[in-house]
Amino acid sequence: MTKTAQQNWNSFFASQTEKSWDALYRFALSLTRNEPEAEDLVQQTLLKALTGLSTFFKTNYQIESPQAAIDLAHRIEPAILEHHLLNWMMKIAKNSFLDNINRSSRRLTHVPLDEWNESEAESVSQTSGSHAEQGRISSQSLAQMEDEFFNQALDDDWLRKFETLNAKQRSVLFLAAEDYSYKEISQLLDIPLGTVMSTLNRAISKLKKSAK
Amino acid sequence: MDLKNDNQKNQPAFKRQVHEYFKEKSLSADSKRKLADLIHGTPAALPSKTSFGLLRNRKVSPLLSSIMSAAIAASITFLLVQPTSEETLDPIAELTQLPGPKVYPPDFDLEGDSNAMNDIVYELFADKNFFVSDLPAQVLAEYKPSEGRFFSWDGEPAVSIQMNQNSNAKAKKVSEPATLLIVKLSENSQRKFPKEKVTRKVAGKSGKMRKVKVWREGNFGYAMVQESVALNDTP
Repeated sequence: MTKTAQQNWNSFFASQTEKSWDALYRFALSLTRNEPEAEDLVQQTLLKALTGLSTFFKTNYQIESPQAAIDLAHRIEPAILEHHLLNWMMKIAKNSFLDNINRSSRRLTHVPLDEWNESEAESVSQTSGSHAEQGRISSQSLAQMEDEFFNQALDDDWLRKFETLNAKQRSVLFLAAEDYSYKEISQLLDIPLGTVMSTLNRAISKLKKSAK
Repeated sequence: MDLKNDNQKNQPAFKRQVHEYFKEKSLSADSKRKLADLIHGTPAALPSKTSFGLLRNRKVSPLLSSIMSAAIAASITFLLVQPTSEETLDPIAELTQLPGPKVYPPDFDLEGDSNAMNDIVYELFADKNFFVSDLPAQVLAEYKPSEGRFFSWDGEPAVSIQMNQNSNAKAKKVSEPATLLIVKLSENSQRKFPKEKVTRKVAGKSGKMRKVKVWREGNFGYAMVQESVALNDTP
C-alpha cells in the first residue's frame, strides 16, 4: 500500500467518524467519570477502530478494498454509516475500558472489574424469566418505577448522586438517556437484556433514594 | 447521533436532564486537532506486509502493543475472509456469511407491523427509492419479522431482518428462527444471483452448517438463512 493510499484511508476514517467523536467522548465519560481518562479512551478507541476499519467494512458491507469502502460512503446515507460506526466504536470503547481495568497496574482503575460483572448470575435468572419471585423486579414494575421517576424532576444535586453510580449503571443510564432501547443497550454493552433492565432499575432506584 | 436524538424534546425529565448534561460535554478543539493529527500520522492503518514487518521490529509501549495486537488480529481476519477471486465468488455462500441483525444494534424493529418496511425507508432516507421491497408473503405465512438492519451488498442497499416463527409455523412445527436477507440486485449481481430457487447447506464461520434458501423476484434477491451462532465483530 502506498503512502498516499494510506493517508487517504486515514483521512477517510477521520471524515467518517469526526462527527461522532463528541458522542464517543460522552459515552467514554459515562464509563470513566473522568475527563482526561475519557479522552485517553477515545484516543485508544479511535486507533483500534482505524486499524479494524477494513474488517468493519468487510463484515458489514462486504467491501473488499479501501477504495470500494470510500466509494460506498459516497453512495450510502451518511447518517446510517455514521450510526453504524459510532455503535461499533462504542463497543470497542467498552471493551477497551474493561481491558484497561483488567490490567490492574494501569491508571484507569477507578472502577473494579467486579462492578461490571456483579450481576451476571442475577441477570441469567432474570432473562430466564423463572425467578422473578426472588426479589427481582418485573419489567412491568420497572416501567411503573420509571414512569414515577420520569415524573419527578431530578433535584439540584442529581449530578453528584449520578457520580456515585458504578460504570455499568452510568453507561446504561447514559445510553437510555440517548434513547437507545434496552435491546440496543444490551447489544452495545454485551450484557443480557435482563441485566440492562435490572441495572437501569438499580440506577434509578439509587437516584430516587438519594434524591431525598 | 441524530438518529437517536430526534425525539429528545419529547423525552421525560430524567432522560432530558441526563442528555442535557452530557450534551454540554465535548472534546476541546485542541483535543480534536490532536486526535486528527494522531489519525493522520498513524502508520499501518491498512493491511500491509511492509508495515507489519516494521511493527514487529519496533519496540513499543504496552499500550501501543495492545493496539498493534488488535491491528494485527483485525488485519489477519481481513485477509482470511477475502474471497480468493471474483471468479470464485459464490453469492449463496456470501449471503450466508452476512451479519444478521443480532450482530449490531438494529436500525429498526418490525415487530407488530410487518408492513412497515417502506415507511421506515421513507422516514430514514432522503432517497425514497433507496430500498423498496415488501416482505415476501410466503415468508410471512410462517414467520413474523422483528429487528432489522441496513447494510450494503455488492454496492447496493440490502437489509437483514430477524424472523421468528409465527403461530402457524409453531403449530406445524416446521420453521426455525431465521434471518431474512433482501438485497437489491445490481447489474453485476443480477448475473451471478441464481435465477431459480435454490436450497443449500453452507458451513458458517463457526463450522456449523446453515441452511439457506435463495430466490429472486424482480430486482431483488432474497435469502432465508437458518440461524447459527452469533458472529463476533469487535476487534
